[in-house]
Amino acid sequence: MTAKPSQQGVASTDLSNRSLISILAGAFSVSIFAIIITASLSGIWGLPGGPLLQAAAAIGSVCLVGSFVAVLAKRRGRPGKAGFRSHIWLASIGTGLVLAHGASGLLKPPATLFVLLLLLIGLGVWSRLQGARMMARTFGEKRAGFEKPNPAVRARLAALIEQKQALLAKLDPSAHEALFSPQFRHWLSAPILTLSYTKLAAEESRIIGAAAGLPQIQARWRLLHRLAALAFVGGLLAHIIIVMLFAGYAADGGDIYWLHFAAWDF
Amino acid sequence: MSRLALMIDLERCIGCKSCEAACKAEHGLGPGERRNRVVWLGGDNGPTLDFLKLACQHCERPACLRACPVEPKAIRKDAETGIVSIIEESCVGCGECVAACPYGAMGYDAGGHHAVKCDLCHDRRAEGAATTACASVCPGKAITFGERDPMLAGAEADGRTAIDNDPYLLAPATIYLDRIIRDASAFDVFEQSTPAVSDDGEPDPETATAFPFGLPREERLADRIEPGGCNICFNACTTNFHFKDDRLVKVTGNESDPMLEGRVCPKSQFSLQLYNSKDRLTQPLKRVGERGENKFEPISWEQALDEIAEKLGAIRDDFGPEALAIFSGTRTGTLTNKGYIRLFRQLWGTPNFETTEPYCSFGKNIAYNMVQGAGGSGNSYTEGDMGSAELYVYMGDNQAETRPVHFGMINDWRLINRARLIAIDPRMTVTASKADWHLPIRPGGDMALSLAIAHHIFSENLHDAKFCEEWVLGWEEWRDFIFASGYSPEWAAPITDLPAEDIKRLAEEIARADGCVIFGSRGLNQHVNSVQSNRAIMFVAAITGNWGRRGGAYFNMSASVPAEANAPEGRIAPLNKPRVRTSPTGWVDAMRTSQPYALKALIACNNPMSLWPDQTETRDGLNALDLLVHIDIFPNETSAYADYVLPAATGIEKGEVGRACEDRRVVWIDRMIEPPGVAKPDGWIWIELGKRFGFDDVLKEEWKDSAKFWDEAMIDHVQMRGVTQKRLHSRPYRWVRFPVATEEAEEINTLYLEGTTAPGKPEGHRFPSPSGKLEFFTEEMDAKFRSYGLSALPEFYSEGESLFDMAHLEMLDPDWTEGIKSPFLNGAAYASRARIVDASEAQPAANLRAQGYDMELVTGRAPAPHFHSWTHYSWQAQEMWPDLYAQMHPATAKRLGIDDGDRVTVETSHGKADARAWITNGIRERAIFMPIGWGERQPFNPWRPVNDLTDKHQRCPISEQTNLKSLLCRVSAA
Repeated sequence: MTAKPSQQGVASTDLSNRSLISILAGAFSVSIFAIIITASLSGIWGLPGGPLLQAAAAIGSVCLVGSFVAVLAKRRGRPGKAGFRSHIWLASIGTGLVLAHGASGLLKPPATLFVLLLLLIGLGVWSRLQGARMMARTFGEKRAGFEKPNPAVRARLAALIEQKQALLAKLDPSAHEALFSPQFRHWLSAPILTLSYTKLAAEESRIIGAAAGLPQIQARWRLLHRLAALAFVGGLLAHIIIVMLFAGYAADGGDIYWLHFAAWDF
Repeated sequence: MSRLALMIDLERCIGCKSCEAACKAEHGLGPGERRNRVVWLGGDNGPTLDFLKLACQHCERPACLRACPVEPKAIRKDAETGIVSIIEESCVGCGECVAACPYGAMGYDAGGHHAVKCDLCHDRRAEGAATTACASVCPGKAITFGERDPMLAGAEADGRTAIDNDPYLLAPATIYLDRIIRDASAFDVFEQSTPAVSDDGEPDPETATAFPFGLPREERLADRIEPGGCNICFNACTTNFHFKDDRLVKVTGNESDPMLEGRVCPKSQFSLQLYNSKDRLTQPLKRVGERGENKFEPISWEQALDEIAEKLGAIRDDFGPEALAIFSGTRTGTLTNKGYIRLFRQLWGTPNFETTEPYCSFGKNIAYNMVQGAGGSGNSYTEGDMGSAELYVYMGDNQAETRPVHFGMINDWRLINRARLIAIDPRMTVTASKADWHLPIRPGGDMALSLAIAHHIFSENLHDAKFCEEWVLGWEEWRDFIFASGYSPEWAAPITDLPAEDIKRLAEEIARADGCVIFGSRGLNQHVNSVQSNRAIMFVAAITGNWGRRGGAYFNMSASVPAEANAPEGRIAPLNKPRVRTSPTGWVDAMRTSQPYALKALIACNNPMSLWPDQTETRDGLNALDLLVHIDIFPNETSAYADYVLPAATGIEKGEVGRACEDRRVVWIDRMIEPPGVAKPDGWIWIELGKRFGFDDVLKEEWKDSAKFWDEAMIDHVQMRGVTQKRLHSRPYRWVRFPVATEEAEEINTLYLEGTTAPGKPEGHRFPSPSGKLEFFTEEMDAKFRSYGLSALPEFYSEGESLFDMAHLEMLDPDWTEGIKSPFLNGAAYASRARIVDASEAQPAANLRAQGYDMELVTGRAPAPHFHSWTHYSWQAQEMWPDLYAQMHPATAKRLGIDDGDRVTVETSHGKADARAWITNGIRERAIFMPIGWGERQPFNPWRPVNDLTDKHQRCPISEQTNLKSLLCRVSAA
């Protein structure tokens, strides 16, 4: 196989930092404006479950889930840089809408989703504005590869590589250990083997010191961002299920004035 | 094809970062975006200095690739060549690969949010290039690109050892050849640390960069390449200028140059950023605010020149023509200094014109002329000449950082021929880091060392008696003088702070080597004993036969190019008075007090408000002027105070010769592009100004064409008549080595060989001196010295500001007095007499030491990416070495509670300046080093200039070189 050359010097179609800040500032302003407007609405129009704000929540949720999907699509290399732009736009719109939806209930349990959302936004913005600079500055700062070889470390690594090769022969016989890392299809087809392989790979990374020498936030931000995103999507789904199917529980003795499918309680 | 790789020779790498510049230019990378980097590493346990050229290792098991979460992966490995490359448009910018690489060799574009990495110049090679951009420019020949296994086999056959850079079984392809001089243990990065001040700049990518960085490759691909040269330093590198649609897109080395073969330092490549800089002066300006307020209004050239002419005319009427002083130099260029300005001042009639020579090298010029009869060495950087030496001795010359390409050649010859290299320097400079032996001399000890070397050579009868007898005049007087004065190694030991045994060993090595090249430079020149110090070491070279031979020389750059324009005899205005002083520093009193006569106007084509020593007094002087005109390419401190600021052109915007090259190469640079805005070439400015005084019969309109001016006005000299435009343009590399009397005359690599006659001299005169011999002592010469109160036989004295009491100099005639008329300049300048104060007499240094000035300050050049203020307008140089720094020993730092990178204040009795601490074992424990070039109005990282700390009164009486190398100082945390 001949590797495709770097597409060097490609004028960035990515979202610039300036654009990112502008979008977020716009979304924040619109959200504040929407919150003020909705707070002034009377009757059912100003309630989170009312037709207006429930619709906002629905559209916002779709946007936020869409933002999540855009990231997954980006991970699949599709549709390139547009994936990130979609991620930001959908997240900004979605955040504005769900904020408008829930602004009046900031002390209620579903508001924890806002905390996760803010964490996600914070980490995302940090990664673009500061994290990217830290990553650029890492060049030449990690020099573990030039330390004097330690025979014990080498022996441990050799054993690990052997174990990985043995596992890989079962997991993906056509793959080459030197270039392999588990993909989504491996998790689907052989989750136990994939997990075992991932553990070995993680052990190798630990020995090599992938995260060593990096500031904690640079080493961990992506994991944090992913965990927060998963928690948010999970929380969002739970909230939807509760208000749509367990409306009685959500109403907590009050009126069930929103559109719902069932009023189960528990 | 087998596995491709880079092979990096740590013995040849000089840390100049030219490879970084080439990589960024080749791939259009902006600030912070790296595919390679040269990491500086200083020994934590001893004075060592290493450089690690870092780029992707193209591992067999690439950790970056496995860490990439994208499906399909955004990083791929070519099964055939082993090249690991990135697909930038698929990269999601997560940074997992950056974290995964244990070599820290994965770059990141923080603006475009994706990883970047070395792919061994895939695109460049696909377009036909034989090698990578980094390898093509490397001044040290440290980088080789090719098939891995044959390269490794070849290196091992040469006895070289590759370091084991695979602690994690990733099987990297990159080969690192270990140092040769290292003691037993192999290279280990963990025994060394990187100075906080290196690679610490973060220019904003959105505002710092200019065309063509960040553009797609196809928009940066040249459709035309023009040969020319770099006009920044004395290495005078030949360069190629790459154009796309008539816009300059890249500057590289010229691979057709048989000598330099395309090798260039980063500065030449940065000149792209200079030509395309957004900070350039583009319009004549007239001051509207107070001096220093930096408030101007743009005006037309017509108005600017008319008003300047009117004011100059009034000053001439009131105070005489000598009331105008002109200062030019580094930026201005040879053609302007020795051509246009020279003609203007001849027609105008002022003696007060000077370049930066009295700050750089005037001492050695005078010394060469006294000893040899002509300025500069007759040797050349050719294999048969400098390349054949057995020993290279660097004395106060950090060539690796100041002329990296030439040093790369010397270092290469050293390794090929198994020659030895000795460095004598208070610091572990890059040059010293390559030395077999480093002697950390006390600042100001060079002359004593030279005298003691000669003493030992004569004592042991190691001198070349035949050469002395036949070709040296006055050597016996000198020998007797040295013996009588007791200048023995034991005498020199406490002055130099070097053991007497080391001095003897050094003397013996020099005397016994079959060819020794002794390099001297600013470390010798920038002292109050500049002339005598140079002469003393010249004498050492001469008595050991290292003069007028291949592979033997005293080499203090640069060669003085005998190109100059002269007005017709009848048009030269008579000079009413001698120059106030040889050095512009000596003009300051005349500006302030009108004594010995008034200086009322200054046309500064440079930046005196940064580079003249003693800024407090300098600024007082310049503020007292009736008219200050500043001609420059960037706004700076001087322009902020100027009445008029005139925007100048440079290099390929005007057409000129490169700087005076070390080994007599004259490099021609064609005019290729228009200057920015309405900026004009210096020649245009002087011709237009001259018109307003009726000088246009001499300063002709057609001479605005610099090439025509060169041929018609500049080369009417027996050594230069063959350096015509025709001959220069007949070569794809655009240089000719003088002397060549005709267009057909052969170039001479080594002058003054036995059996030859010096160019233009009577038959049998091997050397161009009056006697045809090297002259140490003559009665006539001694009479000149006596008029100063000195002797032609170099009597030891050094700096008054030292931690060790030694004989020093007391100047007897302040600058505001006439003093004497300098016999060395045929009476054309006033000069001061001097008295050597014996070490046993009262010492001014004792008083300073009592006030807590307990360190010795040395100033000098910053690392290779910088040259004076030129490079401080280039974002890339600012990324590499952004801040003014003060190098200090760990013991000093510990005593003062200073950490690496901290802000510190350095104070002398003349002023103080802040800088960042660079803590290094590679400096004497009681020394501080600060580099020149920074100024408080520079766009990226402004700092007060180091000349806030220097003293205008401490000058060599003969050359007027200022002491910039030994000043007592104290340091504190800022």
